Amino acid sequence: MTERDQLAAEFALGLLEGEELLAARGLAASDRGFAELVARWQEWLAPLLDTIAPVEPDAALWHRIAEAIAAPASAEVVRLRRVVRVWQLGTAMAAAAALVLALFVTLPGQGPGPQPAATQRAAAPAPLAVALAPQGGGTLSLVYLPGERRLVALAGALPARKGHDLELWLLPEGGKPLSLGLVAPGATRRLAIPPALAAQLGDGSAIAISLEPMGGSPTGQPTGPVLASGKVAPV
Amino acid sequence: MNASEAERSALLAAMHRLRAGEQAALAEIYRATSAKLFGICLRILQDSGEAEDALQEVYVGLWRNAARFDESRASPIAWLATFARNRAIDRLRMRGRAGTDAPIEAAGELADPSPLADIALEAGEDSLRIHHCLSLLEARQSSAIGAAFLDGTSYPELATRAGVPLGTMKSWIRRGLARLKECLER
Repeated sequence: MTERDQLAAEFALGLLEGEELLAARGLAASDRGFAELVARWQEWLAPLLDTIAPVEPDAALWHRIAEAIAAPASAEVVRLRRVVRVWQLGTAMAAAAALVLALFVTLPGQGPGPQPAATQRAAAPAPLAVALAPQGGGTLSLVYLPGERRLVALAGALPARKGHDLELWLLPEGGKPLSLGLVAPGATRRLAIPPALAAQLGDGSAIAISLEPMGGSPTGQPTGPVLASGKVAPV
Repeated sequence: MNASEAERSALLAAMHRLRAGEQAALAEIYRATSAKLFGICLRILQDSGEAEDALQEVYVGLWRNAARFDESRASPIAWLATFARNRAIDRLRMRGRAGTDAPIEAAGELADPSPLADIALEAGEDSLRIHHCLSLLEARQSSAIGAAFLDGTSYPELATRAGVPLGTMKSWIRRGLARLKECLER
């Protein structure tokens, strides 16, 4: 099982927390293949829910639901306020917020309930993601978490280049490429992004990956061929 | 998911009417599925008030987004059950992070991974396959995976209950998931 498969399975089971959860959530929203893996796990596991005995809910619950549907605006505002208050408790809460969204997006056919997406964006900056398919094969998924200034490079499906390293670059408009660090083919690497770089990394920023000597570019600028590039977008 | 064929097709028809915006269809779907979904929420949340809140979110969400149900992928009940489970686990994790979680010991017993007799009522071999494949795993793997899925038990809780380090529990589960996938894809 690849690292990606494993992440999808753990995500479907609800076992992920923190950074891995955010990364999985970003992938599920930006990468159809990953979302499909998660959906398959959910479908495989769903029959287990049959082992749980039914319990009749309180008869009053249906009336609450009917009221909520009849007065969507006010009920929704109250609910959102409550959710936002909870999410404001701390940055750790961002993970929970992401879970809410992740669980929605991983449902077959996306699942009901887009509302938490808006709330999550209001409570914490939305992750940015891009999937690259570098020349020479493989895929690389990048998820940037602005709140933590962390770039998660999921390179589980990226083969190593013999005798070379792969380096990531931020391409600021009208400026020189800025190194974001090296990716680790076959593994997930979490890169801390310094504030000066983070300030230039936002929605629509272009990121490229280049082939470099072992240890990365000796000059601070790309020296080898650019294998792929793409723009990050909110997920 | 123990519905007979007639109940299944009635539910699917109600989902179609819901998609067309018919509010009465939601009441019908609620009558047919709420006990099943409430059981799932209650199992995970272990609190009837919270389970009711989760259930309310499921049906209100369903009403607003009925179009997202894809019948080519899942039966309505499997889809709704997955939705309810996900909502409940989401609440469970929020509660844990807000620092108001119950102590680990109070979180319930390990799930019994053995299939119940009534599973035969579920149509199709898909449901039999997951039980079969789980039964091929080591007992500690299948019970941990079952507890994660059915009770929403987290990695740290699973490790504490089994009395093993977190890393050990993670590798048990990951090895178990890899074997499970092999079997499920066969």
